[in-house]
Amino acid sequence: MILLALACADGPATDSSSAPPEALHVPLSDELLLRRMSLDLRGVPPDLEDLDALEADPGQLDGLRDSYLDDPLLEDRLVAMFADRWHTRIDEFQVVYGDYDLPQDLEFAFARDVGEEPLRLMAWVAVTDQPWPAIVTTDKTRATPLLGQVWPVDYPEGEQGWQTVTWTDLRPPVGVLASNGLWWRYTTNASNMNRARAATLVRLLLCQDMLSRPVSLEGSVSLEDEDGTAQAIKNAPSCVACHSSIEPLASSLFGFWTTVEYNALESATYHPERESLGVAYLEAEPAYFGQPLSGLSDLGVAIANDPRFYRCAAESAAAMLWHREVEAEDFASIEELRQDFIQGELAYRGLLRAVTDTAEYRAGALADHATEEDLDREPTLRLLSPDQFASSLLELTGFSWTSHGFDQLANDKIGHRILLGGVDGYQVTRPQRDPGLTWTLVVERASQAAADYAVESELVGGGAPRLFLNVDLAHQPGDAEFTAELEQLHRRLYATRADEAWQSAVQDLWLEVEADEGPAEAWKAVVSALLRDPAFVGY
Amino acid sequence: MLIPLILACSPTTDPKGTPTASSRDTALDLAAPAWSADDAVAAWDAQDIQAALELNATLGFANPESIRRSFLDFMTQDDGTCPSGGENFGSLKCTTESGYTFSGISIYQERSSSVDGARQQSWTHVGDYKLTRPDGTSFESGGGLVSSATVGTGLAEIDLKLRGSWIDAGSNMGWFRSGLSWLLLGLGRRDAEVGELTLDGGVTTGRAVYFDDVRFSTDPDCRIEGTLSIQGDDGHWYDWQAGCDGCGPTSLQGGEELGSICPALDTWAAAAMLLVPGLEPEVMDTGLEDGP
Ligand code: HEC
Repeated sequence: MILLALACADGPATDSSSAPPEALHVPLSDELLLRRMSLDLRGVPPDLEDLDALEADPGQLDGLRDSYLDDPLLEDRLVAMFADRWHTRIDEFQVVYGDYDLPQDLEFAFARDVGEEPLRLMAWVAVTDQPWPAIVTTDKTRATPLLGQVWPVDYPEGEQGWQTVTWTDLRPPVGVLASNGLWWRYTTNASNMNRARAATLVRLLLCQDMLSRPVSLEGSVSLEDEDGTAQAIKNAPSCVACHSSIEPLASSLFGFWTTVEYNALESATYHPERESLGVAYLEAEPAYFGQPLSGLSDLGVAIANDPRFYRCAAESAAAMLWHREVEAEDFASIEELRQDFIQGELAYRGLLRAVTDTAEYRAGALADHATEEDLDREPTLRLLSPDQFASSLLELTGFSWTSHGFDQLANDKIGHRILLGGVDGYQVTRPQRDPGLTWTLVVERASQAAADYAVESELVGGGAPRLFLNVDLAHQPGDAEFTAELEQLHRRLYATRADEAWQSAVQDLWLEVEADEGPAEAWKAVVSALLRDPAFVGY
Repeated sequence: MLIPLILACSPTTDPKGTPTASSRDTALDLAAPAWSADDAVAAWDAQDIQAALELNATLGFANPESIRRSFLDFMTQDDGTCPSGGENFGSLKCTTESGYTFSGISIYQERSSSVDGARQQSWTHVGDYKLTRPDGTSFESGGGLVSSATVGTGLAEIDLKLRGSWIDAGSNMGWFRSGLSWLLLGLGRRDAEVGELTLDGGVTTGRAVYFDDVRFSTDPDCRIEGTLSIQGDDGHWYDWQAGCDGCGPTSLQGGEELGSICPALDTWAAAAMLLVPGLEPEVMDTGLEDGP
């Protein structure tokens, strides 16, 4: 009954005579909320026009948010957010670029494309407003020309970038369940027999962790020999609890069974003739939690009919945008999101919109009465992810950090993704929430490089204005152009207006460097400091 | 326990009037396709199954000997430095003087011995490679083949274990050119009267076909017998129970009966029988060995 009381406590009181409890979440200011929405949904801070519109009419906030949901940049953002949960953007798969005789400067692009394939498929379903179950029932996926070259898909000739394609190798229409990228990330072997894959599907699509139940090894279970284990899995009550669901699911995935690991040909193609192997190897007919399946083709539909799939979509969308795990206390909020989602014809963008309406999403602080536990649970300030940091630098300065074809903020082989708080999908599976030492170092290097790039290309090289809208190298503090430049930079980077103290502090810094090294170096120092500011890297 | 408790209090927590459980269910039903396993509907009728079986047969019957020959043909290009090292090579990438490229790993072993007048011949080949001819056509593999045969004058027997994916764009055989994936066990025997081959497992050449204890035979009265399944476009499997007369009932696997068919598979069945070696020719006693 204590749980009951807690679960109901968050809801508005039904007794109209008692005052509603003070809200836990203190909302962000409108500008900062717009910045949060823009960074979450587009990966870049809001531009001046949007800030002006909001300043003129605060009622524009929701309309601007809706325009961000329509922005083509949403697709990349969804891919990045899904990656933090699906963990498919790993640096190296069992099949690598060399297996296809691709040149070394495509090493990063190859792994990146493979890892993003399932994520792009889901993002495409989202941005085209197809009902969300399409992620497990479509016969399409997304591919780049590179994947089109090496995988059995009909990549359209003459196109470029991510395109919608159909598999040409007889795999069933089950969307992400038929994704090479997913199964290349989640491999299996002769003792695992697709069980880990089955557990992965249940975790990612139904939000149920099949490993979280306690396992008790009763005296009767002998795991020393293979036969004993096989018997135990089928009969021992302590094993059956999980394995009676895992085995039949695993049994439906044998079309992705390879006879040689690390082989490109075996890994890239679907093998329908192996579908029934599960029955032989696992002694289990394919089934979905007791419901028989005629094969993988039924699995997508079974998932699409499972209420847990919709709750999980709501839960994971909330977790993504709240930047935290969803907990038991959130049940009522998630339930509301789920119902909205279903009533909104399962359009994922509608779900995202609903999450950005929640108090949890909009919080800039917690009320004074917040407990330690609340403070621990609810991050009210988010740190830019490596993706957001990279896309913001690109948008503002035109700078992108690559080396030998490797995007420096998007991998850890020749790059700094983990150091910058990112997720590599193997060693690190959750984004870093607080800045650390290595994080500071990477932010510093990237900011310096971006500042350098902007000053060299715009002020020194005379390229098209991007970051700098008012000054040239002749302008000095005190000039109207100089003041206007700092004002617009403050707004574009932080979404708020600069005050006088800030203006004079930045001018002092500029003058100090300018005295020794000239105006170009002074602007580099200023911009790189602005980009490192907590107001830029936090949101 | 949490779930029922929370559901129990949801009516009081939602000020906007949460839809009732039943209206929620309706919304879900509308949103998701109605489905249950019993609903599986056959997209094909018996004629479709027959047509698919016959069309698939035009690609020929995959034969491990052809794969072995393709591989050994490549190995004749060995120029002493590439690939060099006999029929095994590992993790290499090289091009021969004649312009053949070897890339990947291969293991090939051949054994033969004589026991009681019968030749025992076995070979094993594991491939994880891409081999390319000067004309640009490639032979790619990921898999293993094991063939153990005993060939005598009155009896030949063979045991086949065939796995993996094999494709040779330069082959003149349809199944090999378009690519093959299999996981198949075969047992064959041949005597002076009749040859037989029993297959268990699956092969995908064009379409996926599964043999559940299917017996091919040279006996004109029973060329094929057993349950042969073929996969439809929708991913469902269709079974054909072949009888000795070449006819038999079809059904959606685990589902409805779809009528009887007699597909024209004789050529295909004859090609399957090529997997079983012929008998050793009888050596005529010429008396020459005794010599003068
Ligand atoms: C809490 C649920 C649960 C229980 C209880 C459980 N298992 Fe598992 N088991 C799993 C999951 C999930 C996997 C696949 C996950 C993975 O491999 O990452 C798995 C995998 C396995 C595997 C394959 C391991 C490999 O990768 O080679 C074996 C064998 C196995 N379990 C045996 C048993 C036996 C025997 C028992 C009873 C003593 C048992 N399990 C009880 C959840 C459970």
